[in-house]
Amino acid sequence: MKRRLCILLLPIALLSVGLSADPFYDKGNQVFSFTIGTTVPTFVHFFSGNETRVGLGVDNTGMKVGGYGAISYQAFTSPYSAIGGEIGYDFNYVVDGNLYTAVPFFFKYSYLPVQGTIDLPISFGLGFAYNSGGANTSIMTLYSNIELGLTYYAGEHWGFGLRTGLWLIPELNYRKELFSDNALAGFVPITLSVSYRQ
Amino acid sequence: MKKTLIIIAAIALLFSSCNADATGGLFKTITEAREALTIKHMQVVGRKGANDTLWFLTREGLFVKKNNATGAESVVKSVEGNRVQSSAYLNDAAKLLYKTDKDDGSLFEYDPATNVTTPKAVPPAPITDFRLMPNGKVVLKGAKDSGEFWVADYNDLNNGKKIDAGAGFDLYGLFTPSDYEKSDTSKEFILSFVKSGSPNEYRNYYHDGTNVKAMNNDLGPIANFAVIGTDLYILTDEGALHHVKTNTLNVAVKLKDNTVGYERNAFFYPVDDGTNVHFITNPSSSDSMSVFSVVKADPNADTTTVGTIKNGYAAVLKDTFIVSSLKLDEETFLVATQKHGMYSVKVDKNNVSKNDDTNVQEISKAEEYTF
Repeated sequence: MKRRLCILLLPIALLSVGLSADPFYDKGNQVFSFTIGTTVPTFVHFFSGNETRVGLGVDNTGMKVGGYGAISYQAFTSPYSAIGGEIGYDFNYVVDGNLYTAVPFFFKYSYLPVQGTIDLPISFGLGFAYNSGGANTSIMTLYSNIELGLTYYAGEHWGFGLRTGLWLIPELNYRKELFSDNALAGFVPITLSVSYRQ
Repeated sequence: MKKTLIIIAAIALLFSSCNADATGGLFKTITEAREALTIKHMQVVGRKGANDTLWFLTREGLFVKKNNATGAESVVKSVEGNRVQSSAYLNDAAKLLYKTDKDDGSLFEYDPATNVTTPKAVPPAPITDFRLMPNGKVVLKGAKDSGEFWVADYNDLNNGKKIDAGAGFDLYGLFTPSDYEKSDTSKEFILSFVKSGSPNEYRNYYHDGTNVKAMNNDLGPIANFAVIGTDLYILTDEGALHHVKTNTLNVAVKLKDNTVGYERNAFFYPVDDGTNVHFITNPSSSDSMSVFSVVKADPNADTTTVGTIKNGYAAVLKDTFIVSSLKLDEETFLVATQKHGMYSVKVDKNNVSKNDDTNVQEISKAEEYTF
């Protein structure tokens, strides 16, 4: 019980330290990041029939663990907030051997309650993703995500980090015969990043 | 602020509606995907009788299944330099023919009664190549660019019926109906030749079991055809369905355009319900199946319909690549797929064009077919 309480209190303590300390960033600071890692297809929810398929592989999401690479840029609008964008490429093999790919490009807002040697960004993304799969199917969709990161800066400029979160990709078809296929797909990214700040 | 939000919403709607070409949802297609099997079918060769000896060809070679209760046994193994490319089961002679890619003589006859394989001599020059049809006919190719071809019986390869397609014409495709049943009854096929150009020029011939007859050349690239009595129904790569009478082969009437594409030798299976004939198809550029329905009494009346099918038998077959099929009875057939095994399908002929579970009476699991 004591241990659980400590685990719960740790992030609160970190946040309060971060908030109470002098901010590291100023308005106008910039961060460039290169990201690479994996994505785990987590669920696909079909609005029609309220059916949700969870997990990897056959009879679930139909996909396997894939890969993701991205570049992003953010500029600080205040000591704790940064805005910018990210563009990436995601791929996941489908169980039948086809490839699902997504190219998300989105606006990104980050809040950094902890910053300095260790940055702890909480990010929200909203934009679009160009998705394609087997049987000549491709679609441009909305895209959103929420991510939590931890970046360690050994020096003033270069940092190495770890990020995870949740992507949400809604598939909204406007053709009547495809209404029943409208869905919301969720992916969990687990990525490493290299960041340069100035 | 309000104006900005409206613009963003409009852009979002514009982008989220770009799935115009698809016939199924992206994530629906992905979640319904199945793993490819190790068995890679190439041809359902033939059947001796109900629940009695089925021959089929895979990438591994020729196999026989003696009845529904037994497993498949290897008959001829494909090996590097001698891979079985096609085969024919001769129902009247109870023998098997097969063609391999071996350089020095590649046509063989196999006698299941004795397990003896005998090479068959292919005629020398000007013959440069040949194809074996499922019914045992052999199409021989003459000198390069000569446009000369012959259709011969397997046991009389030197006396084939000559086709002079014209200089520069080469073989485009040989089309056997998807409801092929037996070598001694399913004798018809179409030969199509092409001459490269802009656009390509085609010459088509119909083999009615005895003779080879020139037919309409304006159909474009053929995907497959079916024979219903004296009516031929021809499907093109671009999804157009044509009707041709066997006594006026040069006249083709377009019945319907399906706006999807088909592979050469596409699955095109006719089911006759007495009033209409329905053609089950599996387009290559779509993740659903299509069924054409034609009124038999007057095919050329403007009454042909085409519907998209995703349920019933299509739920199992729509995402497969059907490489071959074999008719078992009026409502039952086998389909062999490239990556997802073989299935036996018993459709309901009265509901075969419906997009619901009533279109099928029974469909097996992959490789759990019966014959």
